[in-house]
Amino acid sequence: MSSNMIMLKSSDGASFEIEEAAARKSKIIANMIEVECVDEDKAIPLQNVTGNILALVIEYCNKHIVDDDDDVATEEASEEEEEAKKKKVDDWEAEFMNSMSLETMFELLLAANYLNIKSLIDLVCQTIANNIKDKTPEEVRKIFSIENDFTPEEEEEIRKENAWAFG
Amino acid sequence: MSNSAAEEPPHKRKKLSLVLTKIDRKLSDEKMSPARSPSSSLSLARSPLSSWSLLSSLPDEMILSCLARVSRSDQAAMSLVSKSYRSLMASPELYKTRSVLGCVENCFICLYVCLLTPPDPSPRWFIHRRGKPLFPIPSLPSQAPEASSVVVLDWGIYVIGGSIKGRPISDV
Repeated sequence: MSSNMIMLKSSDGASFEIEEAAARKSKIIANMIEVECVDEDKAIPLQNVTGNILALVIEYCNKHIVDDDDDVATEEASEEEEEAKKKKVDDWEAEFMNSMSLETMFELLLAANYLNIKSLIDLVCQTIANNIKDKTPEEVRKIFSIENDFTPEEEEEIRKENAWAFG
Repeated sequence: MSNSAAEEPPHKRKKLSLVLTKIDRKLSDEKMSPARSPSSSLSLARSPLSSWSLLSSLPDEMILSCLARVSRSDQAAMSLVSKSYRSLMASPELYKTRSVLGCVENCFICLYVCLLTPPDPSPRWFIHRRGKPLFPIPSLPSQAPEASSVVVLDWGIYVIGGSIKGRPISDV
């Protein structure tokens, strides 16, 4: 396993050092490495990602690179071990996402999108979707600060149409 | 690889920063101009920002990606949130995103069934959800037992043929 280190620089000027293997979680950075346009002593500027968000992205990448290593080492792991490992990752992800506000989640999603880290995009989108699960329209409005622009009559009409879901 | 990178002549480094600027610009263009993407036809691109609030800070495809992961019954609640959400939840774009993500099987949490329920002479469509009573779909006309063909395609249910007042028809 290569232990090359790569420097990343956030939009607000904070520098982060990250293992190449972890940085490769980002398709954008992996592509840069492929075409050999990453220089060891020059940080990659990420103009759309602030330092606090980049720190979260790196935390995620570091965590998942360790997991990928495990996969290689224990290729013949039993099913239970596989399950236990998956649960460990799921638990970590749940706690990771739990620790942040909705605003941070959105910023993290934008960063994951920008850096093209598919598994992180999936994780954040799913977490945002889970925020909506089993909520009433009123609760959803409150969570996302959405203004209700229906008249009471319109609302009643749609409620009837979708009555199956509210039964 | 690290060695070769270290030995690279300065002109190559210049190229690097050029490439990076290019990528950055491309990405920020994508983010800044929703008009570029096919999803710009979504009502949310045109709707007033206030009704989108927090979610509006995300590009369309990300909003779709989040909403596509919401279950069918939660989608019904989402369509009551505001007008722009309502048109979004019914949009073909959302269905496409669900298909791409493989979220469509969520639909099977609810099942569409066509049943003949005496004394009603014609079969009707119902939505069935586990542990809940059958709920008739009001918007579909009841059908004659002479059988229409029904095709579920993407986000629509197409009723083909059948008969109206005993007269066979070939309408879709």
